[in-house]
Amino acid sequence: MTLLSIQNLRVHFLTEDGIVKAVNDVDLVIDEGDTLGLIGETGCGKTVLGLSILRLLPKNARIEGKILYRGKDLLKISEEEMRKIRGKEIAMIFQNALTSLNPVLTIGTQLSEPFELHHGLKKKNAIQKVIEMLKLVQIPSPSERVREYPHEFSGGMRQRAMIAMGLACKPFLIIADEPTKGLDVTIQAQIIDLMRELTKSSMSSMLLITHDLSLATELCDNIAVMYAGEIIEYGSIKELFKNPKHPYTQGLLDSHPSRGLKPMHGISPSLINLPEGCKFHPRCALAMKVCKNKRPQMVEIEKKHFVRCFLYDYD
Amino acid sequence: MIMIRVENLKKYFSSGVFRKKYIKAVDGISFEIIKGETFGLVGESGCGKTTVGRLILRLIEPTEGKIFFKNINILGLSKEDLQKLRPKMQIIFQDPDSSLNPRKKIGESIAEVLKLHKIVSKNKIKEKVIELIEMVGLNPEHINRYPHELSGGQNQRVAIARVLAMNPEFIVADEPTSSLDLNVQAQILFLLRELQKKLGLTFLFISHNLEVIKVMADRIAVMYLGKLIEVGKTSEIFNGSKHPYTQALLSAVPVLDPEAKQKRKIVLEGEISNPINSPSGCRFHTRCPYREKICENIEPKMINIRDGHQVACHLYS
Repeated sequence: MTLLSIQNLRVHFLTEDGIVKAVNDVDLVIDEGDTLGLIGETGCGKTVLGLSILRLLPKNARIEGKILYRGKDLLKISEEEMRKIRGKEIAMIFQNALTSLNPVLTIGTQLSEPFELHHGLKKKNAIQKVIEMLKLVQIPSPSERVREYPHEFSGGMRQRAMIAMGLACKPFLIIADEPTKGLDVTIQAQIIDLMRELTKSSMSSMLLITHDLSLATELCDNIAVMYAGEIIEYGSIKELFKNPKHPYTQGLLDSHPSRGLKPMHGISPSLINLPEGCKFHPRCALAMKVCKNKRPQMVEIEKKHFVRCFLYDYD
Repeated sequence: MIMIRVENLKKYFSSGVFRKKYIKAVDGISFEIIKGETFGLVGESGCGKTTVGRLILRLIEPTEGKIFFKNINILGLSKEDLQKLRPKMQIIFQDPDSSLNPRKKIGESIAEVLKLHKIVSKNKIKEKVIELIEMVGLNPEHINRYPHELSGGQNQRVAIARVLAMNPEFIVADEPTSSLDLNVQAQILFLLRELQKKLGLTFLFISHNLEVIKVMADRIAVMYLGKLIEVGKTSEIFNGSKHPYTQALLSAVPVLDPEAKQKRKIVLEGEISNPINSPSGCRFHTRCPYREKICENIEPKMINIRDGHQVACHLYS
């Protein structure tokens, strides 16, 4: 069953330098129990897309389109209704745990907030809940650790605390933005294992936002590839890695060290100054005349494998 | 020919005013780097790998040990002699945005190096700057730009051009791509490999990223809490690693193959210990799945398993 359906989403920022077109006509569907990976390079708009679901964007953002969560349009509901969903039904795990946690509050105080807010628990009971959560994410001696401040935790432990906080209310959807960034590989492996287990046991869906292809491979069922504010390819993880269709997806995979380190030339365009037609055409080795003028449509080339490229758009 | 030889190198940092504590960042390591090879140094954050790179270039002074650059004892050199040797041994830093002067144009930054070390005569400087800019894959028009106008990848290219300006023989590359996107990372690594082929450079390549090390290095040394625990050819380390830590490290790397998703991993317990009071015996014993009594008390020695493949672990002694 569909849990979240994003339709024609467009997010533009009005800035002094011009209009930053961060998300351009994006359609995405996340089914219940599904893990969708949103991959793309720095500045392709993937974090903005994640934040727009929870309506956490700054004031200069102009949002159009629909974000249907269980049939309800999140862009239309009141702030009060939104607050009930945020953290309880849809939760976010941010990328940098040190800056996302409040340095002057203890871990216990911060993590008990969702329990007090959404379940109306008393402080003392909420702390008990926090201790249970910390135990679940395998933090040693949680009943002592709960009184410590974020700086007393190591990087891996802080990230675990963030995950615990995200999962506190057993949300239906977790948005995880680069949850393992900056962690060492051995710690990263622990976090990956943990997230896989916890999402499975709580039956949560997840939107994993990352630039790390290997991480997406480890955790996701489906992948959406984002380039310059657009989704350019979507498919199951197996299909996409075995049979990438879009020249950008192919290039991205080939630039991975384990796939021979063959870089694409050029860099991603600035979101203020996007090229006409297909956004990738200035870097594409297979660009045709039509690519310069017209935006390609998303076409389904195989079952549940979509690509936005004129090489496959026969009409 | 041996380019760099390091013998029993140690660096202890002291901390605390009244009760001095010592952080044993590097605690007695020895290795050699052969001319023309890329020697990879891999380990997790805080294991001391960056300190090793800085010690070799004598950017910081070691507590103990010897460092030779082509049989010249670097630690015995006077300041003037060291200054003369500097152009031959260079470093590429991790964060290009902070290693370039933000108030200098790209061209000026490169010209500065040429002037300081008197690499070319004054009237040839502009020509040389353009040659270097093109060598690293940038356009001559970039000369008049400031670092903030360029992307991270482009700034790293400028940093590489500045290093190449001195005609170095040996370069320490300290996580040169860890702040870059996948495709930009590939571009920079590709460039470094091309330059190595063309100019016969020798690299000490420091990284925490095993996938990057695998494609770049000819030989690899694995570091844990200030010690080398395994050294060998890249193919040997990746296909037949001996040390339990190396094995865990390799198995922890996420693989880019959805079919192999269920591959059994060795997930280590706990975290890297604090270098202020590193564990007795084998430093890895607190996290090692195969630990025995002996590991807690006696530090394992580095032993040769077969030509050039060395490991420090009681399982093999």
